[in-house]
Amino acid sequence: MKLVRYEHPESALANGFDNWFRRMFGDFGSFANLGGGLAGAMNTNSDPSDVGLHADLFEADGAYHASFALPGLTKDDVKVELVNSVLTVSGEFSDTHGESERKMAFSRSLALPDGVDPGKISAEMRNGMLHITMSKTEERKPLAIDVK
Amino acid sequence: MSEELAIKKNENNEIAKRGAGPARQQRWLRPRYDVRQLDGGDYVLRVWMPGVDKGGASISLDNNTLSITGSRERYWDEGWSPVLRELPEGDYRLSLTLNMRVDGDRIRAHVENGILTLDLPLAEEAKPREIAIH
Repeated sequence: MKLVRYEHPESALANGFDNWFRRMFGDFGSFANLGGGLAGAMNTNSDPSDVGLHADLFEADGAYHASFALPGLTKDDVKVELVNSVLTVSGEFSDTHGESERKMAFSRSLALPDGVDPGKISAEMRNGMLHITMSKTEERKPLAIDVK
Repeated sequence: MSEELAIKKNENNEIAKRGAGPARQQRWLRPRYDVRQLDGGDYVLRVWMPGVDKGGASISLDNNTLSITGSRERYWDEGWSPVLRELPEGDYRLSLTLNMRVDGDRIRAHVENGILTLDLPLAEEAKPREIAIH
């Protein structure tokens, strides 16, 4: 896993693979829609979530935690980029089943609500889930001021 | 395709179970799966269960009903506030009715990168055999 230069998510790989991800994670997609709210509203054309790679994003003390479902993938299949508070997860891999082999690609970007320290990001693939932890920049963290 | 014929999902069964659940409702996700038949007649079933490790998967075969559950790792803490929740909550459950005899003793399973792969060997008596003419 490595951090590389940012490319616009609407370009190249991001488009044209929607259908595959719908097949691959069909149930995830429909369950997210059933939940309504944010996920449902975001599943419109041209929205990033249309590529079908669903994500969770949490804010904790001083950090963000993002998770993506990428079953069957290893860390070598996944690329994580961060540019100006936009986190992009993308990759290519092939799904082999018997003699048939399909080339797949995906991309998903998340705009982070607050500044992230680019030097303090860690990412891990675990059981087909990608987990990314990003520390907030120091000045964004709440600061207690002593009153004298 | 043989896979459509060979394995049928227990749709009614699952709905019935869900309706009769206890007060504290367990949310189940139906995982995506596919089936492939090998040259020898045996089947290979793959079930997509991201977040499930080897210890989280359980498989049972009762007559011709294959039941699979997978419990997902909880990857967030109580104190975290959600900004975006698109991944569904709940564990996986899949119940399949097999219309062929499978040798239960020789079923092999492994979980890798969130995909469960099951080797389902046909029972000897279910295999096609050639009859010699004397």
